Amino acid sequence: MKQALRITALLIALAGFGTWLGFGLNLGWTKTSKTVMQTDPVTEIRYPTYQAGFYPGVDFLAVCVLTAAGLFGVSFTVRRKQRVL
Amino acid sequence: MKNTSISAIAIIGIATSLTAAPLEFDFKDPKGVNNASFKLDAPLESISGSANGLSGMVTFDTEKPAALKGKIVVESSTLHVGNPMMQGHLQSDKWMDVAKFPQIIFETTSVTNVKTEGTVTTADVTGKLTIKDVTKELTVPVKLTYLKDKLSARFPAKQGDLLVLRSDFTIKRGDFNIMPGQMEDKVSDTITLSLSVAGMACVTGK
Repeated sequence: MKQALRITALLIALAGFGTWLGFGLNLGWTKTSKTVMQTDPVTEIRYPTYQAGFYPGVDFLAVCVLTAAGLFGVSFTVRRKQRVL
Repeated sequence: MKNTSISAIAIIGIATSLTAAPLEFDFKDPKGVNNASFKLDAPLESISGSANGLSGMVTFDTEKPAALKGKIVVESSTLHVGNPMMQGHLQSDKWMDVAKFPQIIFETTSVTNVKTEGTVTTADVTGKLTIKDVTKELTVPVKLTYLKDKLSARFPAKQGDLLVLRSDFTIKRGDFNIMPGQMEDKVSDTITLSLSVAGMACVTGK
């Protein structure tokens, strides 16, 4: 049980960090849409368009790290099963 | 021959009077290009977003640009930021209360410091800005670009002119009852606004 909690904690931390890294080290907040600026060819007005998607930010990373730390901490409270002779 | 000359003079006269008349530009944009963007400083990341639900009418006379007058309306429900939690807060009753105050309105009252160079006119436009039922008078720098006969380039079925209006200015959210004096350590009181809109004046019978 102790071992399982620690492995889960490590996996959550790695997955969280990997996802955050994979989506481009976003140092801002998590977003569910990305702004892409375009230019109207006639008026030359620059205008935003939105690409829906999940773009994890530092809050996502923090949640993953805190969850992992929590599980790791809980693993210290789990007592080993005592073997009955 | 005499009749032809009279007709020609009459046509030129009518054409001249038509050109001199002020044009009324409709800023409702079916292409969704017109936008008002906003930015507020915040500790981790600036909060920036935009609104694309714009409409309004502006009267502009190329001969008398100082006679510019009109109204631009932003639908509050189209205010958008990328973070879903911030989006919820932004539109909630604590911040913009879009359900109760569905429109942000700017209406011109006077125009000063007008300078025209070619198709571009710059001016300081004074008007009344209404946000959350609070109306304040402010003067903003405006750049107008008049694009004669360019409407068909955007909408092939239509003939007419375009007027592009750009303006960058700042306001204080506290002045407009947007969480006045609250959370200023997390969200700045100053809002930087940027307006980029194009209006069209259709010419019938062309």
